[in-house]
This record gives sequence, structure tokens and C-alpha cells, in this order.
Amino acid sequence: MLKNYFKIAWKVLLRRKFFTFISLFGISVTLMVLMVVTALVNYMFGAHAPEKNMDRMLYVTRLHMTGDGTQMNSAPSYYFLNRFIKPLKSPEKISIYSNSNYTSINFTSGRKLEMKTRYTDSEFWRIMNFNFLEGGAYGDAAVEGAQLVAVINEATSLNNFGTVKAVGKMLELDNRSYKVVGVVENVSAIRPSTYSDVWIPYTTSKDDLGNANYSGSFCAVLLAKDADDLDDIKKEFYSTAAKIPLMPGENFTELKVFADTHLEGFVREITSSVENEVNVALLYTLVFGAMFFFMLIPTLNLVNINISRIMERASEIGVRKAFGASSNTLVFQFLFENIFLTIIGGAIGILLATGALQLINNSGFIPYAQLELNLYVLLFSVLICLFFGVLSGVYPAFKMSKLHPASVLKGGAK
Amino acid sequence: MIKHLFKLVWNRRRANFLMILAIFFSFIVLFGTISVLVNSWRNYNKPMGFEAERIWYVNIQSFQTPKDEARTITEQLVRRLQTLPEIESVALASGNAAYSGWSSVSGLQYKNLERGVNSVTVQGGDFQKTMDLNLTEGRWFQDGDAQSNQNPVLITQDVKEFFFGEEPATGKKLSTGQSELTVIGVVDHYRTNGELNSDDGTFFRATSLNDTTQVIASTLYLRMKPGVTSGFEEKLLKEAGAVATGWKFDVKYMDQMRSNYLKEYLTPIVAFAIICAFLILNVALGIFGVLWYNINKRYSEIGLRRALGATANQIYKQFLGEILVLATLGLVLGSFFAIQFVLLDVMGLQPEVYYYALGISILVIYLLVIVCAFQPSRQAAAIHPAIALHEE
Repeated sequence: MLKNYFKIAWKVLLRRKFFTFISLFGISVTLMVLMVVTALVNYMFGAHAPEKNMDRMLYVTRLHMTGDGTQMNSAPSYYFLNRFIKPLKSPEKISIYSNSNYTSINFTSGRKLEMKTRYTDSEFWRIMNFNFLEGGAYGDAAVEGAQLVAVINEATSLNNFGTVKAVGKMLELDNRSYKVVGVVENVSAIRPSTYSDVWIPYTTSKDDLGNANYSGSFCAVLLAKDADDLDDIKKEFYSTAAKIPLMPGENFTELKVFADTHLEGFVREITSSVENEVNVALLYTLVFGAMFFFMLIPTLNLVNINISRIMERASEIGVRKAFGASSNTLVFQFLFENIFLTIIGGAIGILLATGALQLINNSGFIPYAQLELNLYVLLFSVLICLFFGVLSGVYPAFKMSKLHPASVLKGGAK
Repeated sequence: MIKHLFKLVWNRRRANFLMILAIFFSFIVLFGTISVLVNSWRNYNKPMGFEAERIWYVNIQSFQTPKDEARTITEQLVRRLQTLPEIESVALASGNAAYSGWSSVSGLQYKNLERGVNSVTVQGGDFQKTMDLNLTEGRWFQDGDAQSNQNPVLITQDVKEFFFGEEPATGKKLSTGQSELTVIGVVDHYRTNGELNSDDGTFFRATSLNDTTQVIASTLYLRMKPGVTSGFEEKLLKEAGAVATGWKFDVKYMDQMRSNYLKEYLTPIVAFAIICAFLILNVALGIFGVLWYNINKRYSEIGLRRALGATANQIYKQFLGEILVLATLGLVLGSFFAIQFVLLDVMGLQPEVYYYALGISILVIYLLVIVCAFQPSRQAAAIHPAIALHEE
């Protein structure tokens, strides 16, 4: 029976090529956009290397101080994190490292190279799972001894040393020579807690890290033993945070600092919330709401087209009914046809999406982006396809099944 | 005629309801997108007050150098750079220039008027010459202004108009917080946000490097002589490094900052506009298909009307009229919601922007609908009564 449905569906598609084109165009481009968005979201928030253990991580990136009509939002300083956050007991590991705002430069044969540079401790390399292409990370001894060593990414290695091995070579950063000890895979710029070109020990920073100013350019990551411990860590974090003394020498009367998961941090960033808990559910509602709204227009359009198409087949339906086909059978048949159409559209959509992602990757708009359609994205796309097919097929199918065989056969519709 | 058209639409209300809904949603999406585009376009057309070309923007980091020493070194630095033959003019000022991503806003008051205005602090060199600012009134800062207890400031033309209207601003007193400011001049334009962002004007004040109560400005603005290329940067850094040992200088070219800014700002807008265009195209194709089908279905009706003496032109008008009624219904519904947007000011734009956007969106939808209805309506008009009735 399914084979017959396939045959009918195929014949119907070929009969009115213009309608088929309109439907396929709408479906494939809609699905393409949704797939690109899904791929982007997955790339931004999924647990990929180096943040493979993202579900066990909390990030401390924001410091909020208010008082006397002024308020200040900034990243915390090394001093602040080292003194108040490092002593926390419940996390398994804690790393303090700088945010990615610092750019080092060097001039090689008259050419200027700019490199994003992060200052890290040695714990950083144990928490993050970077993929090393050459060499390895620097350890405790190098950090304590303020040795001039650097881990660089693939692109920096190519820019400075070409295709030869970079480990052991010297790299000039702001007029100081660092010895390259490791080369890692590029990390994309939309992973704000790990992205960089160069990573060097924080002890080699020219800044005065002992300065008792609370605001600075550092962040911390707390690693839990397992994901269930996050709540306990947050509890300890916020009870500790409540006891942190106000910054000396300034007129601030309130101080807040936050420990967020990657997603919570993103929500905090866009809502500038200063509550301890941010509303992640709101983000989900907004995202799914926007996706639904985006699908609504093509769906309405498809419903319109489907109704026209189906009414054209009124006489066929009349005959089927007269020979005893039930409404349910007909609804099922039509839904099947529609899902068949959607899946063809989806397949074209996947091709288009692959092309669009290539375009985004090659445009260099997001440095080092490697967006791809992975299993999650594909699975989600199939779900969207089915949802789309059912959504746009139900009403026309229902309308069709209501047709009265006698009146249709009499020939109301041409 | 109109009443008749409404009746025809009403008779097929179920099928038409879906069309109206599709038009309604397209209109809402179009309205949102066009509002953003209109807003950016209006901002883009306002003058910036300076040319980004030939301006180098240099950020200074002095690390752990004690403040008093840093003051002396910064002063020497400005003097040294002024002597370089490649550099036309040097200024030391706060870093909140256009495209820098920094902003610094202060509330200004005059009588009962109040406005948040970008505040630019100039500290050394010649900012007016470097940025090539144009005065419409009064004068630029002179020696001694920075030490004056009158707190002399310059304001941009739009700030002047907001506070003083047509009257001359020179000599008037503004206040910010506890302190009183004296306006000594008016600059025609100077925007500290990018050209696509809106801007509430700027005021300039001068501070002295020798005044230990003031923070040291951390940005150098360099105006290059024509023909100086980025190759000069290495020499510049050497010269600067010789005066200020161990400091870091982040050199950016303002025209490059500008193109980065435009890219960053426009990419999401363009992506959104493309998606919007696709949605609209989708709906247009849908309307076309449905009309085409409807006309085929109403073959006999058209044949009958033709037989009873309706001209081809009248048939043509009827079908065009029907779709225009549908579009109007969708647009009335859409405008109702769009006006709620305006009243609630959801996107925080100027009211005129919404009205332009509303007008353009309505026009686009009507145009689209007419284009879609054109071919099917002509087809309907071409139906021969004899053939149509024969088939019946």
C-alpha cells in the first residue's frame, strides 16, 4: 500500500510542476535557514573541544559594583579572583585566566601581525581539553618561574613559521621572545571563554597583578566533579560572595559576582541581569518562539497551496470515497504525500545549508569558525521536517476528507 | 463595485482567511525589517563631522609606571610625535571615538532641559586640527582653558539646538552634576558612535596633563600626511618606545576600524533582510499559485459573465480588485499591530522612522500583490465565453 502511495505522490508532484516548485522552494529554503541557525547554536553552546566538560563548568566573568548613583560592570581582576574565588572548596579544579581583549603584535620583515593573547595558569590546561597538534601545555614550574613560553594556535603557527614545526621556535610578542611549547587546533571566536591565538603564563604579564583593584580583565572557571555538584558549588560560591569585603578606597556600597554555566552566562550578557539566578527558560521560549514564527509564514503559504492542489483532485477523492475509502485513509494518504514532499524539500535544504555553512566558514566573518552539520543538527532537522510536513498537511487533509462524494462527482470543481 | 468585491471575498471567506493571514504576517516581518533599514539609512546620511581616512588611533598602556612619571612621559611623547615629518597633527584625548566601541555619556542640564551627551575629554595636542572639526560659532580651546575655573566646553550643533534653539550658545552656562560649564563654541558635527548608530551629540572639555586630580587620557589621535602608509607604523612604535620605555601602543587605522564596524553592523541586518526577502518571495509565489488555481476553478463563472456582456477589462478589474481587497484587509490588521509597536516604542527608534517604514511596507505589499495578480487576471480576462460555456 505504501508503495502505491509513493507512486501517487510522485505522479502528483510531476503533474503540476509549478506548484511543486513553489512548495519545494518554500520548504527547502525554510529548512535551510533553520538548519544554519541550529548549526550555529550547536556550535556556540555545544560541549566541543576544548570545553568538552562544559556541563561540569561554571564561569566567573562579571563583577558588578554599585554605589552613590554610579554602577560599574567589568571583568574581575586577578587579585580579586585569586583572593576570594580560588579558596573555594567544592570545585574539583579552579583556573584563573585573562579574557581575550589583549592583542599582542610583532613585526616580521615589515609585516604587522596581531595576535589575541590570553594569560593563563597551568590549571587551565587541565580543565580545558585542547587538541594539541604539536608539543604540549606549559606546567606549574613554567608558570611559577614566569618562563617565557607560549602555546599557539594553528593559524598563528602558519603565519609565523609556515609549514615547518613551530615547537621550540621563538615567537616575538610585544618585543619579548617567547618559546613555543605547543600548537593547538584553532578555537573559534564564538567560544568566548577559550578563543585566542596565543596562550602564555599569567606571571609574564606586565600588569601589576598584586594591585588590590577588584576590576580587571580576568575570569575564572570552576570545574565540578560531576554535573550534579554544580548546585552545591553555586551555593558555596554565593555564600562566599556575600562575605567579600567592599573594594577599599572607592564609594561602592554593593558588590556582586556571578558563577554561571556557559548558557547562563550568555543570557546574563544579553539581559545584563544582576540576579544570582538568570532565567534560561526565557531564552528557550524566545528562540523556539522565533523559530515557530519564522516557520509560520511558509507554513501558511504551504497550506494555501495544498488546499488548491487537493481541491484540484476533488474528483479523484470522490471516486475513492464512492468505492469505500474511509476519511481516515484519505487523511493518512494526504499527510503521507505531504511528508514525502517535505522530506524531498528537506534533502534539498540540507544541500543548501551545507553550502551556506561553507560560505560562512570561508567568509572569515567569525574567525576560525568551522560550522558543520553534525548528527545533532541533522536529527533536529529531520524533526523540523516532520513537524513542518504535518503542520502544513493537517488542515488541507481534514478539509479534503470532509468533501461529499456525491457533490464532487457531480462535478462542482473543474 | 467595492461592495460587490467585498461580497465576493466574503463568499470564499475560509480560503481567503488564510491568504489574509499570510499577508498579515508578511507585513509584520516586512515592517520590522524596514524599520531597522530606514533607521540605519537615516543615521548614515547624517554627517560624522570628520573623515576617518588618514587618522590613526593609538591606545596607550602604561602598565606600572607611577602616575607622576606617566604624566611627564605622555607630555614628552606628544611633543616628540609632533616633530615627526610623516605626522601632520597629534592630539591626546579620551578613547571614545567612533568605531572604538567605547562610550562615555554625561547628563547635561540647562534650566529644565536635560539630555545625555557623549563627553570627549581633550588633554593635549590639537584635537580640532587632527580631526579637522568645523566650528560654527565661538572658538576652540586655548592655553589656560584647561586650568580655568569656568570649565569651558564646546558642544555640537544638535546639542546647541536642543538646549538653546536659535539663540547663540557662546557664554551660556550648562550644568552637569555639581559643576557648571561655560560654552565657548559650537562644533557643527562630531559623532562618537558609528554612522549607522543614532547619536545624541557630543560635548568637549579640556583637562590638563599637569592636573593630578584628572585621569591621564590614554588615546593618541594622529593625522598622517597624505601618502603615509602602514609601513610607517614600525618607525612610529620605535619612536614612541624610545620616549616611553616598556609601554604598549595599540595602533589602529580609523578607516579600517570603520570598515570593520560596518561589516559587523551590517552582516546581521543583511542576513535578516535576505531571510525577510525570502519569506516575502515565498508568500508572493503562493499568492500567485492560489490565484491561478482559483481562476481555473471559476472558469464557468467567468464564461457566464462574459456571455452576459462583461468586457475583458471588467473581468480583469474584478480579479485585481478582489486581491486588492484581500491585501487591504491583511494590511489593516497588520497596521493595527504595527501601530501598537509605535505606541509602545518596542524598538526604541524615532517615531518618523516607524511612519516611513509603515508607508514603505504598505507600498511593497500592494506592489507585490498587484504583480502576482497580473498574470492570472489577464488569463481570466482572455477566457472565451463560448468555450467556457461549452465545457460547462
